[in-house]
Amino acid sequence: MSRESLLLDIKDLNIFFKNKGHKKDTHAIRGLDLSLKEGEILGIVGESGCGKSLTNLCIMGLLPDQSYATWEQFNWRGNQYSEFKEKTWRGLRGSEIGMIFQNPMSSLNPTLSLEYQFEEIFKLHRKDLSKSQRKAEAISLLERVGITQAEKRLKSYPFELSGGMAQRVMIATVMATSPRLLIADEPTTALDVTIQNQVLDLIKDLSQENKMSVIFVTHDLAVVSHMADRINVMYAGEIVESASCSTLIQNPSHPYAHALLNSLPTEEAIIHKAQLKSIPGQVPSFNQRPEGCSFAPRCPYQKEDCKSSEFEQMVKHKKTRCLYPLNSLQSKAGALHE
Amino acid sequence: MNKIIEIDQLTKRYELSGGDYIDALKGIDLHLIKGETLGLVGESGSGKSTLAKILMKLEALNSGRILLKERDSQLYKPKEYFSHIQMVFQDPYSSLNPRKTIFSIITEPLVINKSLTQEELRRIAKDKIELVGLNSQVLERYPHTLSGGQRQRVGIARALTLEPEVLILDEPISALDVSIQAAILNLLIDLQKKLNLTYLFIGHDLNVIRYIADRVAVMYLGEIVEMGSTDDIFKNTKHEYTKKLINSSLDLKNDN
Repeated sequence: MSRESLLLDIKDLNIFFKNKGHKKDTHAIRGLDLSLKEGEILGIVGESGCGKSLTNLCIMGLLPDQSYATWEQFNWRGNQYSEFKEKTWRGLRGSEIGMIFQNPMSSLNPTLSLEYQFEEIFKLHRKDLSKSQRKAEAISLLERVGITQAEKRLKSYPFELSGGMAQRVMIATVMATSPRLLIADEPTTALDVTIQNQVLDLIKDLSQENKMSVIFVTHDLAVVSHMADRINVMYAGEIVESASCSTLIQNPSHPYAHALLNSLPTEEAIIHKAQLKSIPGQVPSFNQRPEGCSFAPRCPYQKEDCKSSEFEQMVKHKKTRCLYPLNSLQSKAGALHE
Repeated sequence: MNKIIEIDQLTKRYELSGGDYIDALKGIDLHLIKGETLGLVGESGSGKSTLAKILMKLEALNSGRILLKERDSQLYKPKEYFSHIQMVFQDPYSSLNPRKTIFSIITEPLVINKSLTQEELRRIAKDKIELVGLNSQVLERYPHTLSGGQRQRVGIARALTLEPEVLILDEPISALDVSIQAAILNLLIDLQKKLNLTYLFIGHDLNVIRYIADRVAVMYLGEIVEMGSTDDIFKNTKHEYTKKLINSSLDLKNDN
């Protein structure tokens, strides 16, 4: 894999929250490595509170006020960025990196017609277009995402749209600038199953047509298994496993990934009405992480050295942050195929 | 067959401005057998939640009737009615009052419906909170200090304080993480066995419905288009809409 084909390459990203007084800053995201090829769909899964959204906000340059990020390397389309600068990110955000959210209704401005919402984007990012070109472009974008009678629809307001339609409009507004990366944060969680598939297919098609990369965040493992080329599993602010989609689904090597997959109602559980395997306990908050492996207290395979203070160093930059990965032989075979 | 709830030709019409109207429920026939779980599926807008609200008397019905234990629901006094039937809501974040302790959230139905001493309230609250797998120390805390899964357990404990026989579960696990979903499903199945509860389980995840439901009813645009045993609905699907629903449901992709 050559460096050139990577769209985004982040090494050792750390995000901190400032605390009041002399208390040490809270270390939220720890040593995160993330890379993304052109046109690749990367799934990020994990329970709430694992830092999925925080990571994406950082890539968007939209970290909350009380937080800051450090990294060893932040490489975007071959350019190195040594630190966060609002001015640099203003150039990327919207034009090169687009984002869609869980609830399309709250991401569109309820008081403006769709035409006006497109206008706002064109004014910022497509200054070359004339008024009639802008309208034609908006119509073609709406048609591309499968909205019928697009010209008429431009006069509509968000409340006149169904949830699925509003999410399509959101995607159309993002596509207006042909971004290289689309960050989709739980984009179908609020939609019905029948609509969900249409939106997922749309995202996939757009990614293929435009060689656009996608970071797809979800807690729905079934959805991500249909979408992603590669999956990162996050736990308590770290990526604990990164593998190709099929390897992860068939042979997860981190016990947490394994437990997540196991908690779904499987065919066998359905037929035999067997008890489901839930994960005991809950994700520790960022400032109450145990020493050593964060997952150890909930892990059925934990051993003494999982809790040692050298744990961090031992697993750093490994594809699976675990001292005793499961199915290690099979996983190795899977890694060779990649 | 012991029908604990029988719904007969139930209709609900919402009047809109300008003389328009929406028929949210168009003559629903449905029954719940004691001890079973009936899964209710369908897209948003199909009338699932309207039906739940009418069963909980949060909305009035237009025509038709609901029989609870062979007696018309209209004839019950509210206190009597709600000692038989209670509801668990989808969102454990917005369905618990953030300014009340877990103790007062759980005991509120008792305070409203029965006159009990503080001691009795304490005892019942402790009982119920332990029944749903939480430590009784939780009673002194506020909802914001609990995780989503813990909150949903509190929502279930509240629904159980009046010792009802029927629980309406409106998407009780949709807002939770997968790992927590499994724990809550296990709890619900456990409670059903222990207390011989009858569930109306509203959901959109068809694997979950297949797992938990004995029978399934499929709703579409205010009507029940198909109803039968869970096996029948998923194996001998008859209605086009049900087929569409089953086809769009995503399973873990395991083959590439």
